Amino acid sequence: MTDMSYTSPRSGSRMANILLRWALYIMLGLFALFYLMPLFVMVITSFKSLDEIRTGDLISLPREVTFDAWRTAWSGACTGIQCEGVRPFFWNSVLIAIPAVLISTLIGALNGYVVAQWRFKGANLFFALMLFGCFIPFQVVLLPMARMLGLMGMAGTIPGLIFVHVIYGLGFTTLFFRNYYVSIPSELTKAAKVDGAGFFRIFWSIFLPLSLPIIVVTVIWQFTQIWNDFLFGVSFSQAGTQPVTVALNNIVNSTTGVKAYNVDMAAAIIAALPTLFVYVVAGKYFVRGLTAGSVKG
Amino acid sequence: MAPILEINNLFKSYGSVEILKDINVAIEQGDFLVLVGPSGCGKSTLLNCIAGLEPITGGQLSIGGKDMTHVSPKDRDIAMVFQSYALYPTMTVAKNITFGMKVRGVDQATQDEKLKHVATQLQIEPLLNRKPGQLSGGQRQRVAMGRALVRDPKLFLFDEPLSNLDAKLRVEMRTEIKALHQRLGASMVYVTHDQIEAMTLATKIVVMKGGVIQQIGTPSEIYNYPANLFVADFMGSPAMNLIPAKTKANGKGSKLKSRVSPAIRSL
Repeated sequence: MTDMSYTSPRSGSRMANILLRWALYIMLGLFALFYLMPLFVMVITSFKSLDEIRTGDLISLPREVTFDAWRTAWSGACTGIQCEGVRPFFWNSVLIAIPAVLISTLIGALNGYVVAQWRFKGANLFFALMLFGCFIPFQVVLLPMARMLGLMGMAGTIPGLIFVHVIYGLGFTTLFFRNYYVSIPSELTKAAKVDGAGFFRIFWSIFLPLSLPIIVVTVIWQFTQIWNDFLFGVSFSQAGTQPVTVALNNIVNSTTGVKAYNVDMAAAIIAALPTLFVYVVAGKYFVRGLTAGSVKG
Repeated sequence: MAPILEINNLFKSYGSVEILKDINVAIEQGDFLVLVGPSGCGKSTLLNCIAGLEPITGGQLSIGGKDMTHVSPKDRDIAMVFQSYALYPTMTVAKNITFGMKVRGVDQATQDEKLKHVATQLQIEPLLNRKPGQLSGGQRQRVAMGRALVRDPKLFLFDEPLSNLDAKLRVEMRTEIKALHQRLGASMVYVTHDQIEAMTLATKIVVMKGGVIQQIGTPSEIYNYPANLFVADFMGSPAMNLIPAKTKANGKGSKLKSRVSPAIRSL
C-alpha cells in the first residue's frame, strides 16, 4: 500500500488509497464467498425436501425447512444392504479416532522429549528416520500393513485401525514435540537431574505442563488426519468396523434410482462436524502453538 | 579429615577432542573454590563433570570422601545454580524450591519448615506464590539460590550465576554469596570468567586455559606470584605490564641483562 502514496504524492493520493483499500476488501470478500459457496449449498440443500430440490434452484433458500434428510442420514440411509444411516459408523470413527489421537500424541511427546533432551548416540539418525516416515505415501504401506495386521490377528478390527493410525501418526507427532522441546533450555533438565528427578519424573512434572500449546496442535492435526482418513478405513475394515468416511462413500455411491441429494449433504456435514468442532474449540491455540517455539522469551 | 572434593587425573574428551587434560584439584570443608579462565577453557565442563551431568573419560572423583566417579547426579549430595537459573517455569517459587525434596519423598512438614527457613534467609517470602515468569532477574537468582540452599548439600556448584545480572545487582549478589558462604561454612565450587568475582569470592582459585590447569592458589598467591605468563596477564585489572627481557645467571637467582631501554629502567 505504501508504494501507492509514493507514486502520487499530491491531493489525489488519499482518494486513490481509499479506493485501493475498498478494491482489496471487495476482492477478498468475493474470494471468501466463493470459498464458502459449497458449504452454503450443502447446508441449504440438506434442509430441503427432494421435491423442492428437483423443482428449485441450487442456491435458493429452502421454502420449507425440513429435518427429514438429517434424520435419514443419521439413522435411516442405506449403506449397501444395511439401512441404519451413518450413526453406527460415526461411533466407529469416534472409537478409532479418540484412542489413536491420545496414544499417538503421548508417544510422540515421549519420543520428542528423548530426541530433544536426552541425546543418545544416533539420535539424529533416529529422528531423520522418523521424519522420513512422514513422507511415505499411504499406498506404499497398504499391503505390508495388511499382512502385519493379519499376523497380529487384528485384521478388520477397530484396534487394528487404531494401531495403523498410531504408527502412521508417530512421525508427525514426534516432529511436533521434538521441535517444541528443542527450544527448552537443557539446563532445565540438568537442574531437575541434580534435584534428583529421573527420566519420567522430569517428563511428567516439568515438560508435560509446558506443552499445552503443542499438545493442542498435535491433537488437532492428528484428529483431522484420522477422522478424515478414507484409504486406511476402507482397506483395513470390514462390515461393522467401517469409519464414517467409508459409510459416507457407501451412502452416496450405493443408492440406486433417485439420488437423495439432501440426505447425501446432511450425511457429509455430519461426517465433517467433529473436525470443525475441534478446530473451532481449540483453533486459537493452533496458530499460537505452531509459532510458540520461535517466540519463546 | 578427607577433602570434601578431590579430583585425580581427570580427563574428558568428546570423540577425539580433549576438553580437560589431567585435572587434579582438592578442597577442604568450607573452601570456596573458583574456576576461572577465558571462555572455552573447559571450566563449565569441569563443573558439569563434578555434578555428574557429563560422564568423565578418565580419572577419579570423590565428594565427601566417597568415590563418586560413576554415581548419578542425584546421589552425589550436591546442589547447583545455573547461569540461566533454570527455574521450572510452570511451578510457583515455593514448588520450585521444594521440588527436590518432593522427588526424594521428604514429608510435607519438613518441606514447609525448610522452605520457610530458606525464604526468610533470602528474603523471598512475598514471592513464594508467584511463577518464575513474574520475577525480575535478581529475584529469579535468589530463588535459584534458595533451591540449592534448601537441599543442604555437601557441595554447592555455581555455573556463572551472576553473569545475567546488571552491574549493580551483580555486586550486591556477590556480597550476598560471600556472606552466605561465611555464615553457612559450606563448601562451594564456582565457575566464572570474571576475575573480580574470582578474586573477591575465592579462598582458592584455579586458573584454567585450554583444558589445562595453569595455577592453583589463594587469590593473593595468584595475584602476587603468577606461575606463568598466562596467569600474570589474565589476572589483575588493569593488566600487568609484560616486557620482554633477557636474564643471566647471577649466583642463586638471575639478573636482567642491561639491554632494557632507559625509559623502562627509569620506572
